[in-house]
This record gives sequence, C-alpha cells and structure tokens, in this order.
Amino acid sequence: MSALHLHCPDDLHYHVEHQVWARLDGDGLATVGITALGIQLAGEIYMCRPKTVGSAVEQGRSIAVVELAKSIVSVKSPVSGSVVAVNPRLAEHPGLAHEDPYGTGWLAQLRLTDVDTDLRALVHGEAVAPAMQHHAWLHRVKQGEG
Amino acid sequence: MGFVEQPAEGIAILLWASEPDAPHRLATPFFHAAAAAAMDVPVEIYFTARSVHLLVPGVAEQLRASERFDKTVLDAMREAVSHGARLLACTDALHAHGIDPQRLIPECGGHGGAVQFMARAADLRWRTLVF
Repeated sequence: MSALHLHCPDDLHYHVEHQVWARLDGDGLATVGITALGIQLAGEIYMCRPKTVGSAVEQGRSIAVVELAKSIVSVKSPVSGSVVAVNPRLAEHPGLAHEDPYGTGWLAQLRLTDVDTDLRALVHGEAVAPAMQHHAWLHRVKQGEG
Repeated sequence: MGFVEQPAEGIAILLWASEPDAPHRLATPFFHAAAAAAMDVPVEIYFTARSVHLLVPGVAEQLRASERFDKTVLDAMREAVSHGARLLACTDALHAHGIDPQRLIPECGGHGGAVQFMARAADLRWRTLVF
C-alpha cells in the first residue's frame, strides 16, 4: 500500500473508528464526509449514495452507502441530526470523494440535534494525528501487515 | 425517509439457478443483497434447489465468482449478512440434496421455503428478486 494520507484539516471533528468527519458550519448545521485515510483504506469508490433530505440520522449509524470494487460499505455518521442537503455532484462524480474528501467530496449537511453529546465521541485538534496513525496501524495489523 | 423516498418494507431474494457449479453467478445476488441491506432495507435470501449446497460448511469458501476476485463466495455471503441480510434454507431442498439441516454454516439464519417466500411475493410492500 502506498503512503497513507494522514493529514486532516484542523477545523474538523473526526470519528476515527468510522473514518468520517464533521465541520460545524454554525446555525446548528454540520457538513460531513469521509476522511482521506478512510477513502484510501477503502479503495476506489464506484458509487456513493447518501440518505435523502429529511432523513433522521444518529451518530454512528448509516448516513450513506458506498459501492467499492465488489464490496458494499455503510458510512457511519459522525453526528446526529436531520439531513438538510446532500452533495448533488457525488451521484455523477463519486471520484470527488477521492480527489477532495474535505472539500467538494462532502457527503451531506445535517441540522444537528445534540452536538454536545456528539462531540464527546469525536476527536479534534492535536489529538487527531496520533489517533489517525493508530487507526492506520490497526488496519495494517488487521490486514496482516503489522 | 432514508436512502429512497418510499422504501419497500423489505426485499426477498430467491436463489434458484445460483449453484456451486456456476460460481461466476454467485457474487451478484449477495452483492445486491448487501447493497439493499446497507440501505436499511430488510433482506431475506431464500436458498432453494441446488443453492442449498452453498450453506454446507466448506463449499462457498472454495468458490470464487472470478479469478480476479480475492473474495470467496462465502466472503460475499458474510458481507451481506454483516449488513443485516438473513440467509434462509429451504427445508425441502435440503432434504432433496441429502443435506443435514443441523449442519449448516453459522451464517444461516433459519429455514424458509415456498410458503414464506410467496407470502413475501404476495405482499405489495415487499419486492422480490430471483437469481
């Protein structure tokens, strides 16, 4: 496997186990997506389908389904809330999740229901890098490379 | 609300022509089952005819749908189960092929045959697929 993408923007909150991120947008909203590391570990994405606008989502439960090379992955949400927008470009261009996971490859925007509780399970700031490194190590061990 | 505006109550999949002698056809049903289950739709997979051999320990793990796939058919079955799909064995088919119902792979979630599948087919809230 090539060098892992461990860089993570400082302003985001990460659910390391599920390799997803949340950006607090203000006004009770958050944008969510898959981390670069998560994308890299998963492989090429053929299709990505988020839940529809109006769907209620719980932290740690499915917010999107991703089709990989002969594999289906359920993407878990980093936060709880109601979906208010989905990335309209992903349907035609799922590669955006690879090319720009923290930008144009976002999955959905949610109206948060309990952000204070959500944040307890998320990693932010200086704790992110070692947590991502540990996750990558765990993955290598699981794959028999460790 | 969820992944579609008006989701079905569930999807029942009948395995009839899917059998160990045609492994190239064995990834597709489980891949579709995994996709549906991952979209929070209840999924039931009914193993009938020769497909029941896939529930015998040691059979599916020896099969690959393609030489290009690392995954075995058992891996595909497990992936569907991991997303919530239920694997159901037709009792009559097990008997027809001399398979002991008590000695199936642990992923098998029970027995289900013609009546149960047709009850799903007759229920307008369910969708059915046959492989």
